[in-house]
Amino acid sequence: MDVQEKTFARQLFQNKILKADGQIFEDIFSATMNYAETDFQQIKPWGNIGDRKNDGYIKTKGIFYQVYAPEDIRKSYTNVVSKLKIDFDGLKAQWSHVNEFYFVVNDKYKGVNADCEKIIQEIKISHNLNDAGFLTAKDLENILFELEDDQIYLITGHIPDPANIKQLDFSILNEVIGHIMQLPLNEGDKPKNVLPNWNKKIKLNVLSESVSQLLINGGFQSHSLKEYLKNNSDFLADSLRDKMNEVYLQEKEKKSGDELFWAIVNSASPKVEHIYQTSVIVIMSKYFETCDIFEEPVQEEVE
Amino acid sequence: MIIPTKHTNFSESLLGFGSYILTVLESPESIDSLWNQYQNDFNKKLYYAKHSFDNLLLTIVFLHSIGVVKEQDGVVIKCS
Repeated sequence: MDVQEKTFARQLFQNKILKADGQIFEDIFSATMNYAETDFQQIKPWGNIGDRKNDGYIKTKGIFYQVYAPEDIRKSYTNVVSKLKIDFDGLKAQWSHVNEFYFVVNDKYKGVNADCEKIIQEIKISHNLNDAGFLTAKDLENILFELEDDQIYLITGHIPDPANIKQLDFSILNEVIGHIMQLPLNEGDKPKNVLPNWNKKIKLNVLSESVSQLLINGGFQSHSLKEYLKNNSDFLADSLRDKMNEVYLQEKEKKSGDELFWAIVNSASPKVEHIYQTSVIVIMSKYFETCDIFEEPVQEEVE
Repeated sequence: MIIPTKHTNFSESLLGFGSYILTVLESPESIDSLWNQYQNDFNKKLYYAKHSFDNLLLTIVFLHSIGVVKEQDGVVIKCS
């Protein structure tokens, strides 16, 4: 794991911790400790006997853990203090060879207050323990990042492969392509559109039947594109038209027919991949219809 | 942007939005009250095009540049 991957993994972990209350936090703690300490034994509550005030322990070392994960620790300090006393008394009564005791709290990186720290130190002294203290989110994070990379990923979740992330490009074209890529294909798309009769234009521009079909298919989704453009107050439709027309005029110099069509598709696509190309064809379909790209048949005047 | 185009209809253009602003500007109004008025009308579908707050400011600048509105004591006033 390099520095960037580690930073990203830490953020994933922190995000998990911030969302983890109750059992979810306990699961994260147990999974981390299972990797960090080979002798760690998680204690699952069992029927009416519960967990006997012990959420997990390292039997060989006599180290015991009790987990507490309120939604907002700042509202629960009185609960923390009382739970701490009750849980430790319960633990001591039911388990032997308690050398160390740790109260694992999801403080959501806010820290624990002085009263809690005071109580746990009193417990340490009065019960003659080797050590006692709080394990907070930051401690858990530190334990986790001492582990092997594969173990870290199992807990934080895998870092997305940058190759699968959409290109972060802020151009007008990519903004719209990004939107179209997320549109679902609906059964009801077809009736929403009255497809234009552009046979004359297809013939004039020497486009094949297969390209014509691609433009028609793109047209089925053009209502969603129009809706998106309508709801955008930044005059996106004009900017997008200018961009598509610019690409068309540039490619038109050297190419024609299907070759020109594919040159526009590939030039406007962030990557030459199906998912991007189909989105570009939806945009092309709109501007093909409005005659902003490809030659327009001359209308004969009706006398 | 200011005038309608093939892809920007009248209500989406600043000229169209300006005509709406002049209609609702019967008495001096602050920018905030004009914005609230527009949002209410847009939600009630009394005005069809979506505009951002930036567009409202650009429209008022446009109206000011052609001499149909002026600013006085922090409010927008229609010139007589």
